[in-house]
Amino acid sequence: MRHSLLAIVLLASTLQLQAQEVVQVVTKIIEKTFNYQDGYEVNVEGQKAEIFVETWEKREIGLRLEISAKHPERSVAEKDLETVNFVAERIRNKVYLRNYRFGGDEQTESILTVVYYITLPEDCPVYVKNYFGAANISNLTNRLRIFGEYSQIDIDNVKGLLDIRTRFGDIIGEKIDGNVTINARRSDVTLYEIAGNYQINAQYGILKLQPTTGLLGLDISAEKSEVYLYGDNPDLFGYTLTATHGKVDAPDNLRLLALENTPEVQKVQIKPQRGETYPMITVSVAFGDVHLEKVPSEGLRY
Amino acid sequence: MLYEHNKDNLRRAIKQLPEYTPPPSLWDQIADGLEEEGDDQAPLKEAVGRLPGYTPPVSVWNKLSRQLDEDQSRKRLRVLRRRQVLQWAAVAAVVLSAVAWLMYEPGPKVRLQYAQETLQEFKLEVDWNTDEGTFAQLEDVLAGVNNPEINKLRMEYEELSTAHQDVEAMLVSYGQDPKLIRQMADIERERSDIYRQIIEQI
Repeated sequence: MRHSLLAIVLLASTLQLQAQEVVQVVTKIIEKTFNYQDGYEVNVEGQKAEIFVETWEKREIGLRLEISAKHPERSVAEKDLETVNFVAERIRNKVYLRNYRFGGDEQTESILTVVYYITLPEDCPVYVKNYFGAANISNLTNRLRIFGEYSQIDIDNVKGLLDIRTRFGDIIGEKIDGNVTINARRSDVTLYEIAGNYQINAQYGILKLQPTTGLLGLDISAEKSEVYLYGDNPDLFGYTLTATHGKVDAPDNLRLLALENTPEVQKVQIKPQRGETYPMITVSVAFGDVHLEKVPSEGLRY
Repeated sequence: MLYEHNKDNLRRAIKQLPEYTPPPSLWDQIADGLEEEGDDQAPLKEAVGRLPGYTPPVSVWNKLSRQLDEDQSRKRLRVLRRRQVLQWAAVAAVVLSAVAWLMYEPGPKVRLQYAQETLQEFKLEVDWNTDEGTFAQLEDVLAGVNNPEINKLRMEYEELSTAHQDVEAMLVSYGQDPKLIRQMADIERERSDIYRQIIEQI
């Protein structure tokens, strides 16, 4: 019995070994530093790139770009690596960082990956355009514009002017404060601990937002989407929630003032008990529901 | 001033005129005549000798010497100015080269790194177009339908089909990356969902 068990274990491990494959990874590492001056902007245009943007104290823009090719044969990986081109240059006040593939229509034999590590002063305006891949941005304070397609967007602790447009790429953010505009199509938007002013347009997505003290206004207009609002203290804000071909869901202890209640439209208002002026949260969803919920005791998770 | 209208004609005519050489005796006669004229000039020389001489006022000399001095100093000033210009040029050159040094951004450092990785499976042969026949049939059926509800679904379906093509192009361009395959799987799931909704409504 023991022998047969051992045999099975051995057989299983050999099968696993057979399935595994050793590949050669050739990585081109490009490093460059640009002197920074007020008025400069970093302009990234990635293609299937993972883009990390972080900040530092130096008045410099640092770039580390890694382009890799994976293939069982090293020569093939080396050859395919050469088909990925890059640009890292400053023209007047713009620092352009790009990658693209020569002969993009031709099948590559290797798996190609591109990673940008960009470190810059926190007040440097940033524009990121990414087609596939992912963008990861933190600690900026000035102006951030993102245009993503099929690219996930992560933003953490960002202040200032934010303009995000995305298709087929989810947005995940935390500690955001500023004037924020988001246009999301076929993308989920999850934003926790948000302050400032928000204008969000969404189609085909799940929106999860947690407003916090410091929120000045939140205006969501969504279609074929589900909207979740999490609030520790719904007495802080005024709400106008509308669901067309959907329903509005709120905790029982809140006093909902029905403004419209037809088979097609449900519109409610919630006003804080105290205070004459308060920030307004307006949500309007067509073909979807609006949920106002308490923050679960185990906390919010992405 | 007179203006000759037929300048060329005149020139041609002059050229056609015959040439004559004077006899040598003629030149001798002229030389003699000149010598005789020399005697006639004696009274003139005498008269010039009798003319009174004037000494110019002192101020004229002073003015002249001042002018000479000024010319000298102007020359000195010019030399001085040239030296200053050269000095400024040198300073400007130093400042410019300092600025250039500060603004200088060295080109990127590029190096290659080699490593090995163990993957479960390198070539993931996934054929995403096995269901394309079924989808094509649907498109044929939809061509004959004009219902607002189905049209909306059709637009969604078309958007997802374009996304399918975008991911497929990326799989060609950047290889069979598991992340891309997951994205494709998500899009295909949504597309199948829409497909089902359309089928239910037809």
